[in-house]
Amino acid sequence: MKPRDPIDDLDLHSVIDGEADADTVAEVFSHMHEDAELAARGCELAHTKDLVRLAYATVEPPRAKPRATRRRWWAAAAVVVVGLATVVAGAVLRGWHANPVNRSSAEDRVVVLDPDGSGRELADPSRQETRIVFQLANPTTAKADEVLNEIEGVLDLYSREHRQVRIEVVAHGDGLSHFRTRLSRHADRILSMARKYPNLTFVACRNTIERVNREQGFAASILPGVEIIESGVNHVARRQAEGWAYIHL
Amino acid sequence: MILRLQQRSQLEALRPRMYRLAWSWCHDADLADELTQAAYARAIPRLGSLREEERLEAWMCTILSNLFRDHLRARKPQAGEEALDALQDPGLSPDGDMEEHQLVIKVRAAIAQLPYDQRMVVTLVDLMELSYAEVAKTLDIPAGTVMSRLNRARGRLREMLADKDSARGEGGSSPKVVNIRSRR
Repeated sequence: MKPRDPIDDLDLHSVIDGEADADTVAEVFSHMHEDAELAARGCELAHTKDLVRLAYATVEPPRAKPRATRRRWWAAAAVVVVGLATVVAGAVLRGWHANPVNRSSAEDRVVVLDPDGSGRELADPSRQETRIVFQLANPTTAKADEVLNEIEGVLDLYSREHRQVRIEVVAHGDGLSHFRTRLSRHADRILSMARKYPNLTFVACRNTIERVNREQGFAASILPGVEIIESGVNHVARRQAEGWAYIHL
Repeated sequence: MILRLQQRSQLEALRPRMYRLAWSWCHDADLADELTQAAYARAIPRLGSLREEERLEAWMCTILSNLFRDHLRARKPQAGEEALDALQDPGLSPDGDMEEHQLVIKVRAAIAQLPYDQRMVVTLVDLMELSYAEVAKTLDIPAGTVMSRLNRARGRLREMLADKDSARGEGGSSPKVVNIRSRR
């Protein structure tokens, strides 16, 4: 989908919804960089999309609820027992095994989200720093490829042009599988990107991790270098409110 | 046979999302459950007719949206008439973050004010992550109509969510409290 000139809300929707091709995304971003009003409108629209997702994120079929409640005690016990066993066995066999809520999973790359606190400030165009949060909620390999390609493209472009950019990739829901040690088909690439780009942070949703743990009965192992935050959806919504550009591919 | 079993398993894995979608359309837990059950009852015997290139999610959304539109035709509920209680019901724990709780209620109330055609488009795109082409096929409308409805829906939501605080102080835009099930 090619953008019209000037860029209008339909173009912004197409970027927000992942309908636009890479050239269009780049063009819209370029306009947003020049036009603070357009950038603000894009952020508001993306924020609206995220609010819709947030509004229904906790809705579950009624028949699933009582079953979850009845099973809670043994499921929790199973998570604790199997989690402990996994951590101990992993530590012995491999010297490392990620507990998903344990920050030691990031040992080989100390990740501090927003170390100087500037991410909480509203975006300031005069600072010439672009901040982008990518959301990864789709489990398909093709979609993860697309997201990682886009990110590498953006990081390389900014590096070539000596411009500042900070990127976070937030995985939640079905997208968490890309950050799981045993399931991810992109583990090597994610680790390599995390090491190569200090301005790139991979972030996983603890709510999703805990849900996965409950459902499967054992602790999910998360890639090292991935930061864990409480709620992926909330984090994305907060970043948008703080003026970060939001990309959902 | 193996393919059919895989499809059944994928279909079951979709159930929570289909229920969530139905709930976002009607804001009624029982009705959403009935719609989801009916969609599955209709889908399972027809799994064989699912074409290879067709995504299961989009196919199920088409079945669910047809059922919901049948319901609207039969019952004629008006947008914005959802019960206020229902907007607060599922999944919202009073023990959770109060600020987030209030935000979720606000957004649900705003979505409940949208006409059904806009509501269905915005939820198919945002909750089910269907492409515009898939939404067009699901609702049997042109792609341009999908974009214009989406544009109107998001624009309206932006306005309502921005006004919400000031409107509340003036006795403003809460949805009318009528349970649409009582009209059936």
